[in-house]
Amino acid sequence: MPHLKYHPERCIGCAGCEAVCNIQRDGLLSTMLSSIMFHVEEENGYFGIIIKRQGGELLIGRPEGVEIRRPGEITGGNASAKPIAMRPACDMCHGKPKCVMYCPTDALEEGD
Amino acid sequence: MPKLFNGNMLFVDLAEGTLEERKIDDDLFRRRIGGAPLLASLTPNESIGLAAGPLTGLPCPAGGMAVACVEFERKHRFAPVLLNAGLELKLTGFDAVVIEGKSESPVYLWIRDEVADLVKAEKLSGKDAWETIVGIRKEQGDQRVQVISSSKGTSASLDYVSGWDGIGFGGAMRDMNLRAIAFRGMGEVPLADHDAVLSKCSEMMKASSKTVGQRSGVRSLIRPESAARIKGLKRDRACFSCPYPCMSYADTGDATHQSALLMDQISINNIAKASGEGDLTAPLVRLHRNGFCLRGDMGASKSPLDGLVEKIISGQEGSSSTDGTFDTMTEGVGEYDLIAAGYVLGVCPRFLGLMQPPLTSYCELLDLAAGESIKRETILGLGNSLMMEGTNGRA
Repeated sequence: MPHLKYHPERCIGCAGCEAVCNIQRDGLLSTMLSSIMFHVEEENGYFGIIIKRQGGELLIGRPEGVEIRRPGEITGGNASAKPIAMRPACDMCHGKPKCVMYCPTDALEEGD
Repeated sequence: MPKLFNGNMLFVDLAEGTLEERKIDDDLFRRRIGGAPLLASLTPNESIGLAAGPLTGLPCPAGGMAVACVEFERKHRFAPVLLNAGLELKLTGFDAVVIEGKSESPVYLWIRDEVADLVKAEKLSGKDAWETIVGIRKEQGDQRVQVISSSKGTSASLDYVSGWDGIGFGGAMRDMNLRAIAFRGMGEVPLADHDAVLSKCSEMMKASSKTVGQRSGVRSLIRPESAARIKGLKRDRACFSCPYPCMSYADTGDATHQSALLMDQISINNIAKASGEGDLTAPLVRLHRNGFCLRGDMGASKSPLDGLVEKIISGQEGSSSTDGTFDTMTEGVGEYDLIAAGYVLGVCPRFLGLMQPPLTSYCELLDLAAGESIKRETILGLGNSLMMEGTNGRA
């Protein structure tokens, strides 16, 4: 099954993918229904993204690498207006993912 | 209410302790479009304000900018509010925030979900700009709260980042007893043709990436001799939806704030030129945490670095602000019509000044997102009138 792939070493932290995903999903400028959540800790020089995939899996893209967590494997995390677990899963835009078309550094790609 | 906006503004009178939500007339949007011209029509004398442009928050190249304004003696001056704050401000439900008066005691303004409060901030007394951000995020329980904070100097800090406020926004906040403006955007804003908007944004981002090329990080903006004096430069980062990652994280040597995100090209070059030797990161952090940026050329005095920093913080050395109407944040980029247009639309002046993308692409995107045609000449005319009039940009 096709999924999004993330290359943290290419990512520049622009976070535009989060907005693109939401616009594609409901036609509105927002971030609350995005399957992608941008995470940044300026004080630690740290940023990355989390992607909710089909079946509830989470792709966690950290500067040090990418890992896949299955439902129930994640605990903790910072407070958020709408946690990633409550957001809709990525449906790959039913074809060509808009975030892949948008990403200026090809940090997001289609993959298996 | 036009597309791309909420149709609301927040008016705050700190002297009275009142907050009022006001509708913005559609006619005002038609005449002033948004951003700096809109703010110039809304801010009374001796006030400060924030506003989104029509493209603020759209995922187009450098489309993440909101506008900060200081109005003093009938003169407006504008600075860019960057990182992720432009999108977050627009999604609070308010297109503009205008603040006047002086609070009796220290407060911070907290905005989210079309709701705003003035929160007592005595507990933040004596805290520097970064400590203020830490305190507010802890109090509100969300690391994504955007915080513009004031300190001793005239420059505000946004989420631990300085170098964008050359207009004295931070100093005006301090004089109003306003320690910070904090906001979190969880709303939504309508778009006219979202499929066409996404296609156009992707097309613009790919084209802009080619223009940016290999340029990356604050190194790409500062002189080699300045870069050699910042030892711990690490990962580069961009503001919201910008293909040019012009900022860099640098090691601070501080246990609680291990990194500083450096955007302040002008201060880095100025302090390197004016001081003798030594790593610049810690002195820069000390200046930024205390609300200072070095906009004026301080000459090549080669003063000892630590002594120079203490003189600036104590007011014995200058840290002058920009002279123009629009802060470009960038050496070699002065005010001109494309920069002014960015302040109307909500597009970063550094990106526009250095990469010079075609304004027509942004105008085409605006038509798709707003669902109505707004002429390029109208945008340029509004920006130019603010730039030329200087003292009076009122509608």
